[in-house]
Amino acid sequence: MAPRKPKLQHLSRREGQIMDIVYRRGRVTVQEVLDDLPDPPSYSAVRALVRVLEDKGLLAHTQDGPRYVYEPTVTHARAAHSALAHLVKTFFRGSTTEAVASLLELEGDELSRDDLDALSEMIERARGGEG
Amino acid sequence: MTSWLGWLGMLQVVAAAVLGVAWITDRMIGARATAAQRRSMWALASLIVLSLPLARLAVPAPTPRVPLVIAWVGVGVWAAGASVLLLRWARGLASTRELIARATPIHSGPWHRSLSAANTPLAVTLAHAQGLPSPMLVGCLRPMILIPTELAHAPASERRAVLSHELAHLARADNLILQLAVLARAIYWVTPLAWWGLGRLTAEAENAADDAVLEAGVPPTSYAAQLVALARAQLDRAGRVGAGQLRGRVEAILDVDRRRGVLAGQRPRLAFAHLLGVAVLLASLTSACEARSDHRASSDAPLVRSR
Repeated sequence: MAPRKPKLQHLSRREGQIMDIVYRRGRVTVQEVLDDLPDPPSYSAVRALVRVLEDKGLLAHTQDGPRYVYEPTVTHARAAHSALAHLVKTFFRGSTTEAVASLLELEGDELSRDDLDALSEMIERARGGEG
Repeated sequence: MTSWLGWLGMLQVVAAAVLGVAWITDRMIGARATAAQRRSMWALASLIVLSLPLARLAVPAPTPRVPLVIAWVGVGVWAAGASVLLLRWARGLASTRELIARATPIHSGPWHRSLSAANTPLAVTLAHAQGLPSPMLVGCLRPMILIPTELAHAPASERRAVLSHELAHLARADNLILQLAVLARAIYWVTPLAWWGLGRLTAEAENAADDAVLEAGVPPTSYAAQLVALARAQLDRAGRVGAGQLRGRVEAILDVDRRRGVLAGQRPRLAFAHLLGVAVLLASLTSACEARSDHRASSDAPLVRSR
């Protein structure tokens, strides 16, 4: 079976930050990613995200003693080209819902599960007030 | 070409002034007005700026003293930006047509019964669509409410909320006005207020439609929970979800002190015609005043006697 072509465009904000660190350093360990991430999550969360990127075919690891060292599988130039292509595609794809009266527009800054949980808590508090 | 640059420049300046007045008014009226009123104000501003090019055709514009190459570059940059945005708008229309073509009309079942129960005088059809993240109103001449197939078995309370929201958009001809506002932004893309104005119009149109849902008797917490559930379903399905205006809308829906009011029912085409008529009148009046003051200025200028 032919190897899966890495998809560079469907990265979350955090995944994008990790890939930026990998491209800047060239070769990284999970700890190095954790050290460079702004407002970092836990070590295990970063390790899970790095594994997700490896599953997506964007990173490959080699063993260096007790630790894994990760390198990008796609050149930076190709990543930049793909990001630009994705930006253009998103710009025009976003036109579908821009002038349409939706019940809920789901574009823009990403919402995390925590954000949605916070909104649900706000609703529950208001529900208590409704009595 | 320099005269074109001058005309285009004045058009942008006048449009910025109109949108600036709308922005100041928006800040001043704030929470004292309802979302429906703020939405109407932004809709009127959008239609006025859209009417300006025609209204200003006869108004002489100053010819800037710039090299011809600068004039070409200026007009060229504007044309490039406007073309990209117009292309995007056209792409959006094409995508919407594709959505409508692939949708399955609803002629019976729970959604059909809910639409009948809404007892609306507005001409609208219902259809199911695959892969839609949210219900939406599409089409200007033959409006259609598209329901994601995932919501095919939504309970009655949720169906009522969705239909109240989308019918409120239809009653105000939001589907048509938003298209025209996007067109206006393509013409005036150089002006940041054109982008801001479109954002405000979109946000207030949503808030006004939310007010209509609450006026229809849907409890605020149930409605807010329904919107959050939609976002959560999109996150589960697609792995990511954009915030849109979700936070602001949930806060507004739960705000018990918020002024709400639904404009009295009016046929969408009549409501739109009213707004367009006022917009064209105001655009023409401002242009006529400007042309008249230009004429007076040139009439008052002393004649230069040749010797």
